[in-house]
Amino acid sequence: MGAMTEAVNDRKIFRRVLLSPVKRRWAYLLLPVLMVLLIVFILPMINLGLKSLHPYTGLGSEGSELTLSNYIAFLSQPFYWQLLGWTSILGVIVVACSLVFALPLSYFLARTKSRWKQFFLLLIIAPMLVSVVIRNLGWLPILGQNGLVNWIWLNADLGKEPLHLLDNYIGVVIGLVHALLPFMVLTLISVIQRIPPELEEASISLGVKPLGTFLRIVLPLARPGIIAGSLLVFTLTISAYTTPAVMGGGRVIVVSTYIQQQVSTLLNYPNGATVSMVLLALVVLLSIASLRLGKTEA
Amino acid sequence: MSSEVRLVGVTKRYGDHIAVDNLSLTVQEGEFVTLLGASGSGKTTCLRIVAGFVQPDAGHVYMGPLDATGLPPYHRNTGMVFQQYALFPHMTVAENVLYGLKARRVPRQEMQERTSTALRLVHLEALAERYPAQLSGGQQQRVALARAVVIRPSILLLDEPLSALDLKLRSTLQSEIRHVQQRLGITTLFVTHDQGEALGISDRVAVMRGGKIIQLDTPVGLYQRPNCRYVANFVGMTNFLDVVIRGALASDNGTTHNYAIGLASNPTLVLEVSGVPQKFSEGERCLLCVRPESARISSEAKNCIPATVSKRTFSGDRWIIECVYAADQTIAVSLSGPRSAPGPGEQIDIAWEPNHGALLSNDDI
Repeated sequence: MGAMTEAVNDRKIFRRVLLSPVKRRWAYLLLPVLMVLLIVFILPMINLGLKSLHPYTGLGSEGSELTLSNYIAFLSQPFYWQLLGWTSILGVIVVACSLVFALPLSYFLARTKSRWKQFFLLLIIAPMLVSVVIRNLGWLPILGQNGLVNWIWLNADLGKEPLHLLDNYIGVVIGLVHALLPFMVLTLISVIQRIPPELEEASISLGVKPLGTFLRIVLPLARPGIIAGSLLVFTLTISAYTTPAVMGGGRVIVVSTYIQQQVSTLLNYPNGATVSMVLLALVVLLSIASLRLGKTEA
Repeated sequence: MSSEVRLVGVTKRYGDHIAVDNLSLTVQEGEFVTLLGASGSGKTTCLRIVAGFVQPDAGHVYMGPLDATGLPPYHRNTGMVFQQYALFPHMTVAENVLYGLKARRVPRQEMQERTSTALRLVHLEALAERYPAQLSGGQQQRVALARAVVIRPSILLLDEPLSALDLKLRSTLQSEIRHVQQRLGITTLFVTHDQGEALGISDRVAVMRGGKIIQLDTPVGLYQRPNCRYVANFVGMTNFLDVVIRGALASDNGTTHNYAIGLASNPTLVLEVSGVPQKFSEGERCLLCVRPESARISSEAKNCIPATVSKRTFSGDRWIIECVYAADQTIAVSLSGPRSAPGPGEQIDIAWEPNHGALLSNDDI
């Protein structure tokens, strides 16, 4: 008799704790956000996914049957593989350039005790505070044929011909590195700050110069941050649209500009949707990999 | 390999704060000197100046005949052991120890031999392939020691290396460090705030305060002949008695003086103190320092004062008996060994030998 009432009591307590008024209230708070996400994000994604499963039957129209022909076309035609390839190479180049700039910058900012530290941090994050279109337009007077760089280049007699730094891959790389450097720098700063300065002092006291110490002690220990930052920048690069569009002047074709072409110009929704889904899958995979790596190193 | 290290007139300022104030110190070749002081006394700054991580505003650092003041740390041939061990986590124990040898381009065969010898010296040759994360704190510190000595440094610098370890481990490692240092004859500079550690391990101890060395002496000298109240208080427990000089007594040798003194609180009581290195004048008020363990309960001695027990504390190996001998003047006696101790309220006589007291003039406070 006693044991049964105890069991019933336990269940009552369990139910009360799990669905307690407090927990229920918190759950209600999430509803508006979930609704917004559903309408603005999830539903369009589902719609896009569905579009990729219909065949293209002419400008702005698609057939009503479900088919995987779009995906088969994607996988079988070399053009799409080249598209992915070029976009990935762009990603690698942007990551490499970001690292070259970010490593010394992050190291300096992580270790400095200068009063200017906050100011420099602000300077680096500044690109993120500006609209992406304005940010890219700002490069035009600098990189253009009559821009600042060419003015110096020609007047200092460094070359006869003006440099072509816009409407091509170089311009896109410059624009993307400028925009994505903050991500790399912030990731690296937090990782380098966790490396105890005594390790570098120990290395220096044992006779290794500062550069050697950086290569043999700081870099290996910052590797998790370098990988995480690189994955982040790579993912953001392959999914970037505005910067390749503006800095590439319409002449640079990466996955995102191709999708825009298909959807806005050719009104080929199924094809655009297919490539979008492939890009989405790629980005999700890379993000999961990045998260996993972040967990194991932590 | 090891050499004499000299600091001459070294000063370091941080804004308005003087961290090291015109400090001069000579560490003889093969000697073990400890910088002892509270935090903020300048001891760590001093060590880092010798290491080369801090540039002094004035003064010089000499390593042997070489003026090392302008040299960066990687040109100074110092071996350093840090409080948090600072072992490279991505390298094995052996690779950690090899690190300094690699930087010096030592031939491979010799590198291996010296590494094995160093690890054997700290009893860790079996753990050569482990990573620091797999070792205990004490083992990590021994690896750090091996790493610092394997390069045959001119001077070994230790920055509070035992503070991160627990008590039992501390004394074991203390003797290991001393053993390694004596075995290799390396000039050593050790920094700590723990006076017990300093007394147990050093050839000489420099007590530091406010960026200056207040007293530089052997551990025994520091303990028995503190030159001011701060040192007397910092190193071990002391009783301070207000006394007045009655007159000089005949001295046994030319260098020290003997005095008859009277308690300020009880002028009729005459006490003796001998072996005083300074000169005091008649009528001068000063402080007599008597260590609790120098005092005993007895009425048969040259120095004897009556007192009433106010409190007694037991700490395993000894009793501390606190007594009152005049209006709010206390004196503590330490009784060791298995024995009974007088309880509160008892009247006892406290005695000590004349050569077991130290006289401090009032302005040494």
